[in-house]
Amino acid sequence: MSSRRGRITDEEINELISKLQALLPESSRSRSASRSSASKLLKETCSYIKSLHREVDDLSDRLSELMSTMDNNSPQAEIIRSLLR
Amino acid sequence: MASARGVLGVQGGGGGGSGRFKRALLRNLIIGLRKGGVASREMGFRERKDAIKRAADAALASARGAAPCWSRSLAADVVAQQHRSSGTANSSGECCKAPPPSPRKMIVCKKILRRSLRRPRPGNATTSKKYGAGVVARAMLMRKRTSVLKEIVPGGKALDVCTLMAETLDYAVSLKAQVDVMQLLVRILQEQNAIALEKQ
Repeated sequence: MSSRRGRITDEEINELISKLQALLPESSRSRSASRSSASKLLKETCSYIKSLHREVDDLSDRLSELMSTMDNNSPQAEIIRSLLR
Repeated sequence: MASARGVLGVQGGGGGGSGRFKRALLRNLIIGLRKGGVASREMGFRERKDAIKRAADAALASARGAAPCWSRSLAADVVAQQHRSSGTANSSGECCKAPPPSPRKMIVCKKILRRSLRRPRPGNATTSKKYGAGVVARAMLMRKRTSVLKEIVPGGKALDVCTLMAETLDYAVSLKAQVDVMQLLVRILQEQNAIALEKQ
């Protein structure tokens, strides 16, 4: 781990903030001014991360179901099983 | 102490993480699923799902490496969960110890925080004119939002606000990559099932 002893400048913080803004889904960006509310940004970041968590949960459900209903006799299922065994 | 740029290392080549990161993720995920024995037919739905989630988180943490705090914290959580599910008695899990931020960073962060959180002193007319109720309300909102973020990001509680921001960004990008890889796996399995059904 690098131990760069630089100051974390205001510019770096602004960079992080603008990166976060760029990361979030499109809908919010058109409304924000150049000095958009930091708390709004944080709130949207929280929602975004929570929605990603829900997606992971949902995908885990689907994967679980797919693996349990795999046709036992097909060669394709065997390939998948050997991949995962 | 990882610099902000070190923590942001995952952001090569486009949103949702670089191709290399996702390939590592997929590889780790398949290995992890194998280890979790999810292809076994005797597993119950819930058990399988939990194993899948654990494998996904373990794959994410190990693909990302030990640079960010959230990654180490997540890895520790996975280990703790595995011990719980296998019934092994375990001392309450390792918690992620964030490396102490460099003193200079702390001072600068504190200055910035103090600036935004300064409350009007009672009885001082100039100050109450300068910092009205609006500023105080906004500062309290910031505190609230920051604390929510600390709950969501693994290992966030130990971090100062500035590090938390960098960690959040890195975590969000990595999470997106995890979602993408899992979606890919779902599609692969669905197509395999469809092919199998056709051939019957």
